[in-house]
Amino acid sequence: MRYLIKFLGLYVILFIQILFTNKIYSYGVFPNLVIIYLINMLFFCDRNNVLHMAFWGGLSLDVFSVKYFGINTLLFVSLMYYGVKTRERFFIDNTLSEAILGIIIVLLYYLGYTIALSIPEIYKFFSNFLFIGIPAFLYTSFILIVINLMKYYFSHE
Amino acid sequence: MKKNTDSFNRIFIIYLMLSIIFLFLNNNYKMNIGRFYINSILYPVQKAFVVFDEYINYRRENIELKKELVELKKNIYDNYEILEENKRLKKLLEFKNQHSEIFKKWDYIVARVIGYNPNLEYNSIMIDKGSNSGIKKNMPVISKDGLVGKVFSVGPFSSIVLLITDRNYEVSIKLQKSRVYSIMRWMEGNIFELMDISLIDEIKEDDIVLTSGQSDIFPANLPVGKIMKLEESDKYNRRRKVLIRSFVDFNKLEDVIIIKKENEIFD
Repeated sequence: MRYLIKFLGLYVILFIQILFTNKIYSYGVFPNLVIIYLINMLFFCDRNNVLHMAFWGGLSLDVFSVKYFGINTLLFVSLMYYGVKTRERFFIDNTLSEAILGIIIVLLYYLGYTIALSIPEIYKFFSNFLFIGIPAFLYTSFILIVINLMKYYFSHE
Repeated sequence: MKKNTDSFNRIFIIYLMLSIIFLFLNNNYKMNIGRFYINSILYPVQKAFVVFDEYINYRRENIELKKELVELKKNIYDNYEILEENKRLKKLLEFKNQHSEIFKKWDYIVARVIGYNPNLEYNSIMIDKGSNSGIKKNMPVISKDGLVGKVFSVGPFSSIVLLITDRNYEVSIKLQKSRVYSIMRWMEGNIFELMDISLIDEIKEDDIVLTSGQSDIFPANLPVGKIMKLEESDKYNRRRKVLIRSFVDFNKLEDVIIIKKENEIFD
């Protein structure tokens, strides 16, 4: 039941991402709320369920994306696999470590996404990463840090 | 644990393979049609949000436009006020040029009427200049049309002007053509009555009334009004009732001139 609620939460976030992207659009970039949700689920869900959510979340996002069907699925599944492995290897169980891991995942996501965006003209990778990837990474990381701070605040309340 | 790790790796490999397959199917026509249909499911919801968004935007725009309208209306009224002020000041200037002999002799101050006290003990107005601007008690006050009154009390930044329409006020005047001197007292509105005019005095209709210069307050030849009505009031009394209409509309006073003529006797 808990897993179902978390899965439902993923789709709520997905619809918010699709329907309200223009509302959180700032300086030409918008954050990826789905990856933020998945990063948080990394510390709340069973490892297999994290992969299920990453796959279906990525696939659903790809359906509503204009470019490269499958890129979000591939990136989400790979990054969540990496996230689970890192969490288990380094026994990450505090807010700071969670935030650092989250930021690394976000950075890798935008790196991978920018490579995919630049595939037809790979020489554009650096400009794409500089003007699209990094701003979006900063925006998403900012939201992730805010969420982690809130988690930290409420867990110590 | 080992079993769990195996299933985890297996799930990962399956999903990874599927993702790669999806990537390879990117340009597949059927796949894109499928995506299009799935996208269409969300269309009504998206449309509803767009309509709602538009409604919010229209409301916001409406509020902004209303604010702008108020601002523009205010600007129009402000401009109109400036225009009116300009007209009044022009008339004051004309008045000054017409009575250059008075203004050459005495210095003057232009003041704005900032309050009316017609219902108080004294019929008076308040002006925005006081002792800081050099105003002193009993200085004569005129408008672009003619005699208004005298300074009654002076504060540092404002003064009270006693109007000639005050019931206890009497002004020494002369009739320009008839050369008759008399005392004028307020009756009603901007109508005044001349006192002690005998039937012997030859008074011409439409004669202009000026200050006589016999008082210590008002200089001579300030315009006051015009003869409005001549009545044979009392044959036995041998007096004539003469009514004057003041040139000044006391209800519409906005700018006045204070002549800096000092009257130390009355100070």
